[in-house]
Amino acid sequence: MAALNFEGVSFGYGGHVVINDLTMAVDDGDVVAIIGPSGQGKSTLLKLAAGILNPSSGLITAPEKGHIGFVFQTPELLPWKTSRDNAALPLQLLGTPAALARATSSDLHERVGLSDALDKFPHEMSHGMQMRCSLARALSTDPSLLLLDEPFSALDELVRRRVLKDTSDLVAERRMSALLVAHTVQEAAYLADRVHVLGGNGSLSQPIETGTDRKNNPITRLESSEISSLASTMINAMEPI
Amino acid sequence: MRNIGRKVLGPLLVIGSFIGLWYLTAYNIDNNFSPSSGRALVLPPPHRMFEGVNRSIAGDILTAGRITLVTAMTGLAISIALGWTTALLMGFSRSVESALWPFLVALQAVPIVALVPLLIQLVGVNSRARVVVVVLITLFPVVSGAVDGLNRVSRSQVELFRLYGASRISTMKHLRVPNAVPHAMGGLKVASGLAVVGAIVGDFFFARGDLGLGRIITEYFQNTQPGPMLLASMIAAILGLLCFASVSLIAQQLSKRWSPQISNDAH
Repeated sequence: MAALNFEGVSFGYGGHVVINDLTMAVDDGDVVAIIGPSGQGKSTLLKLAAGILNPSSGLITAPEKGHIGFVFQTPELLPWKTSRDNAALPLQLLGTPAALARATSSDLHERVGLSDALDKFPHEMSHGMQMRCSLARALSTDPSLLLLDEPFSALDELVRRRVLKDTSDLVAERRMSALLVAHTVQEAAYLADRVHVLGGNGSLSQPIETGTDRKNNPITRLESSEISSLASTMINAMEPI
Repeated sequence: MRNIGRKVLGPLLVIGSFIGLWYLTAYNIDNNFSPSSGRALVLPPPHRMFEGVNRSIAGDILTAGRITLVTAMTGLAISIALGWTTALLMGFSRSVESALWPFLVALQAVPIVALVPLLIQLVGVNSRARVVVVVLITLFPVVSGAVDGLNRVSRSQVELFRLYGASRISTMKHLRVPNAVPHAMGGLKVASGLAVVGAIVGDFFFARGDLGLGRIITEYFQNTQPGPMLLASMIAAILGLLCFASVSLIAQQLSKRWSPQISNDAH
């Protein structure tokens, strides 16, 4: 069964077509990555999936509000709230009792390695810590679908690898479905079961299997030669832009 | 050492230059001193700055200062209540915002003197009219600071709230209003200085009821009493500074709570 389904979805504004007759699905427990040049509507695709934007035409089937987690490109934490209260925000908005929301947030802080930062304000945290907090916030409602919009692109190499691994582990552990806009082929290969390339005309390539066998053996990672070969396949799948 | 120079020598140099310029002006103005009594008629030199001020005049000036302060604070309080309510309405609805902006900008640009006949008809020539002048002068910075803060939220944060089905009221309460606090405080700081100016300007046009600093300054001017006029002007400046400093202090405390990164950067 599909956790997310796009059927002939188009989206545009002011005569400009961003997404054109797009059909794709993310099956239950699957992680699908979207890769492609910037400005081609990758983030728009995620916002359509989240229900933040409405399609011009076509049908999107997705979990209800509150069952979708979203990690933005930048942490987007509220500067006047502590890390604990930032991560508890979705629960607060959904009307969960404050004590329960804070307890859930504290548990998630431990899980993402932020137990020491519970009472810190965003400006007291490094960018990596802020991204972890935004990951905890996305997981606070225990979503069945996680949407990730290039969340690792602005991180330093070592922090990026660490957060990437933690995200991968969390997705596997919670058996979530996820749609990831990937910044690099490595990220897509690390996290996803399948990759689509979003081309210049707003349509998706056929899915490309990453071959990581993530579900059965999450520790399996691709060799660099395999990643290079995957990159070549993606480049070939890309529409001329 | 360089720090001391910047903090002490700079201001001392400015004050010294100011006093020097004051002496130069006082002794170079034609007919500044009365040939009979030797009293200054336009500008007394600094060492005789309060010439002609006696206990009774000092008492009058302090009473006028208190009246001006009460007028300024009453007007500012009304301006805050009216301005922040207007800003909230503008924040809730783009159409209300675009409908009200031209009116607010125009209101700020209209000279007070042009509104005097209307105000006389509506509220009379009394202290209420002076409060209205304060409101007219302070309303724009109060509203514009708050509206700016309500609108200056990141698109992703608004989308995050939409993702969890937050209503407009909830988004206003949990995102836009807290985000607006430091900006609203910025507008309030500007308005607090203007409030005293407004109370004094109001005195010039609406001279019935208790006398404020503006009215008393006019009287000393008409009676050629530059010493008392100078003292009243200094009291007005001190009141303006006090209002600004008190509001700045409150703003700083609120900014610490609502925008800790800004108050941290400022130190």
